[in-house]
Amino acid sequence: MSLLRKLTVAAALVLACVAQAAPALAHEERPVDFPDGSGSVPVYRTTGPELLVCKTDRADFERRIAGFAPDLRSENRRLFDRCRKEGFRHLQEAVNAVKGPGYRIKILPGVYLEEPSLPAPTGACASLNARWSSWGYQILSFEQQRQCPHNQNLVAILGIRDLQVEGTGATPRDVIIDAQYKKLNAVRADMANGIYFRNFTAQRTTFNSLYILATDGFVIDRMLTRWNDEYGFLTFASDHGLYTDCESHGNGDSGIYPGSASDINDGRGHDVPRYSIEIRRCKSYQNMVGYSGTAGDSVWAHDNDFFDNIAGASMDSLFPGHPGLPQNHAKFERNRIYDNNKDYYKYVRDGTCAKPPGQRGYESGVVCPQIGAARGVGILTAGGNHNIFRDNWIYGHERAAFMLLWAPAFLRGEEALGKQADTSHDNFYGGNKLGVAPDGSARPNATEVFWDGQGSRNCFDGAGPTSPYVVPKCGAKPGDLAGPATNRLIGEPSKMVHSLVCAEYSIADRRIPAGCDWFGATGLARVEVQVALGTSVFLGLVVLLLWARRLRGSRAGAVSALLALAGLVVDVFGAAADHTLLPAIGLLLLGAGLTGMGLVLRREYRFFGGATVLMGVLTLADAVDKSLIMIPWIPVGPAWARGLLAVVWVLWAVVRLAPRPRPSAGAPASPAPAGASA
Amino acid sequence: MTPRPRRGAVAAAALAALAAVAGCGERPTTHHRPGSDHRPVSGTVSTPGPAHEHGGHRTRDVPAAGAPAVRLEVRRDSESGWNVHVIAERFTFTPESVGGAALPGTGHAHLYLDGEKIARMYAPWHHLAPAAVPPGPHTLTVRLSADDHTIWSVGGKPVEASAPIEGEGGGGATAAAKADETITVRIAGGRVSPPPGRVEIAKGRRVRIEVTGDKPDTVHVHGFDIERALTPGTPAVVEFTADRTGLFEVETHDSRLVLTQLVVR
Repeated sequence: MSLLRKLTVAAALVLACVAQAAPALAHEERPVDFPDGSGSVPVYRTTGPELLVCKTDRADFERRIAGFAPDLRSENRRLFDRCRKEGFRHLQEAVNAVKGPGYRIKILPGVYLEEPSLPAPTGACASLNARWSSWGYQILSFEQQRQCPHNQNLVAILGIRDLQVEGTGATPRDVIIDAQYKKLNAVRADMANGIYFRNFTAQRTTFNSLYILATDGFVIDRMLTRWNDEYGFLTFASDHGLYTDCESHGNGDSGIYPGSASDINDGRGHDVPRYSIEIRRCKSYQNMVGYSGTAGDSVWAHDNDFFDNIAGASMDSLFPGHPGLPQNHAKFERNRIYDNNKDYYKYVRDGTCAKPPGQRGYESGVVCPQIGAARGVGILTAGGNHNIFRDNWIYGHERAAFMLLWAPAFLRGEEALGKQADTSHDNFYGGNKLGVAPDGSARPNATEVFWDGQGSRNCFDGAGPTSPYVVPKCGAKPGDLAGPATNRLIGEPSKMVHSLVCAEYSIADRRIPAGCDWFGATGLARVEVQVALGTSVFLGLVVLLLWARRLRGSRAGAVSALLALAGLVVDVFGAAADHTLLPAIGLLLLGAGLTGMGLVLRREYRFFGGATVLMGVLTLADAVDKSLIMIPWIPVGPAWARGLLAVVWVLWAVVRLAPRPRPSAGAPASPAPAGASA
Repeated sequence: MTPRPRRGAVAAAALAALAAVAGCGERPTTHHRPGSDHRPVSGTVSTPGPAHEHGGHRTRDVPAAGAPAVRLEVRRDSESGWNVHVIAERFTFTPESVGGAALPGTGHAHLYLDGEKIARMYAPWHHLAPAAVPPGPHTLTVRLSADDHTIWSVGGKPVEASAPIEGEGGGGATAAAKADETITVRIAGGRVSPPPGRVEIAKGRRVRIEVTGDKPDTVHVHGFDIERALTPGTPAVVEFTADRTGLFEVETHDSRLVLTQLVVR
């Protein structure tokens, strides 16, 4: 157990950098706690005090409503006449006029730049006593936000209860709140229980368009957000939320981010009484990821479309400061997640993303990926438990439908040894329609699964190719597996190295790891192929020397060495295609070769020969693990045991390869005429 | 004394060592490490002016101090046409973000021939083909535009520059000959001669208006939204086809003089 623990810690430490590899996403904010959960999802109201917001240019207004249906047009005209007399010209003015719970604000068609909110802070607001985040803005308390609502927000809704804000146009595009990249947030609803947003657009910020924080009860209904450095919709530390019929695109992080949703199902199995946030019928496209959530707990996402992003959706447990870690109990059902293969890294390479936010061209399709996301993946989970992904259509991905990775607890600031392997367990990827579009046409994913092998009781669909080659299959319902479960404390070493390299991505430094296939590396440029090549060349040299110096006289030894060399060659090709049987074939040849060599060597070197046989047997076990069945019961994969033994074995081989003193004339001849090679 | 702290210390030391070896930098303290520059845009710009001005583009005022400025040079090309050089100060061409928000000191340029927009410029240099300029004297004007196609302006006046350009293949007489109606107006000392009246024109006819003034100004034909820069002593020529009916005023912008009224039937 001691060795095991050390192994775990070592592997965990290697993963220290992996945190930066996966798209774990968030923002820096004041410390917040979950609401107490006593609220409820607000319902759209047609009653309550009504405030109107409009501009005064009638000609412009008429042009905007010209295409509306007659009823809607006349309703808007009626509201416009009233608004010109008694309404407000800016949304913030109307928010400021709210006297208590239950108000409704109607925004008439137009573009709202909220000019009174724009001037740079002056007086006390210019010198608030608050920490500066590494992002270049201050972490303000709620009281400071109240004191200076426009330091960071174009429109601030702070502490107001049961407010409903809606656009009166035919579509969300008829009413636009435009931050013009002059504020971090376009609309911030902070501790605004019961907030209901409907039918308008918020756009062009240096962080989030619509930000809901520490709120119990919210609805985002028919809203559009676009063109942000980070998120379209960001809801954080909130409960009783509903996103419905929303749309988001052009975000450097994700369109939809339900991070730190209330952790109401912590400690439960797959049967849960409710979800804290429901996301339905939303479209999220042309972002780094369509959906993401560090600590996206108890989120039920269904009937959404996530497409044309770098990756479709992600959830993770990688970062501290998020209530509710580790991530758990997301449920994805009947979503269409497809064609998430966009290469937005080109805008980092060519310097577009180094320009100021407003000059990057978000409006014409530029996305500046804030972190290195795995391109061509449908759903990525980097540390999560009890997630359910079923009945989804996932197709057209150039890498994998599902990616599951381990996220050791110290990445999120918890360093207790017992917690290091508390993700990723009990994730159910079953009953999905993979590689098939809803119309039945075949749109295959390159692979169905990319998994580092870590965690317990995870299961997957699996008609198509997977990496590893075999994965545990799911049973009929969440919690059920079709075969034995695996329980591994750490992931496969080659995949961890891969993550380590990919983690070096940095948009700020314009650093794009050359060896990572997420960013375009192919063939020999891929780090996993380079590592395999280096290892094969090194081990091949040892095998050749052993044959030349110790096995030359033995036919069995020569055949075994040949097999081992062939295995090492195949292994290099297998490294680039670990969803095929190539790695297993390589391991089979290598394992057989090493076993044979060991048996021959045992004649002269009992213990070294024995160690060589053990190397061979472990390699054969690895071959079984990567071809027939992921071996259950073992806490680490055979690759780890093999790799660690290889270090000892190579050193031992070097000792055994050292030239021996010439035998004296009277000594019996050795079975392997080492002198011949001298 | 207990094994726990020792284990923790070992883990911490190993972590530090490994982080150094791996060169993976600091572990993020809260969230993902800082990404691209998130600094909000600074500087002030006003809301766009009224519509239907300046060739269909609204103006957007900026304070005079720090406002962009522009000069225009037109050079004959050694092969054909002209090379137009826009010398803009306190202004950056930002073609990647065209269609985006109006950010101070950024955008592109619009090029007009006799008030009619003929090109959008994403860089300071532009080649004008011979065919782009009809025979005769014309005025080439450049205006600086924001990414949202509003025209940068100071005090309501566009940031612009003009230069004369002479079309190949004939003089003004040729151009005048093409027009069905020619109206000549002279402005001197704030008076218009002949005095402003109404000119009746049949729909579809070609109209040419020549305005000579004694002060710099802008001539504007309402309804057709055509503008010409007026330089003292040089006739500003407006030529267009009267393809819509109605009563249209021809006036000067700065001196607010009505030059004539066109009644197109």
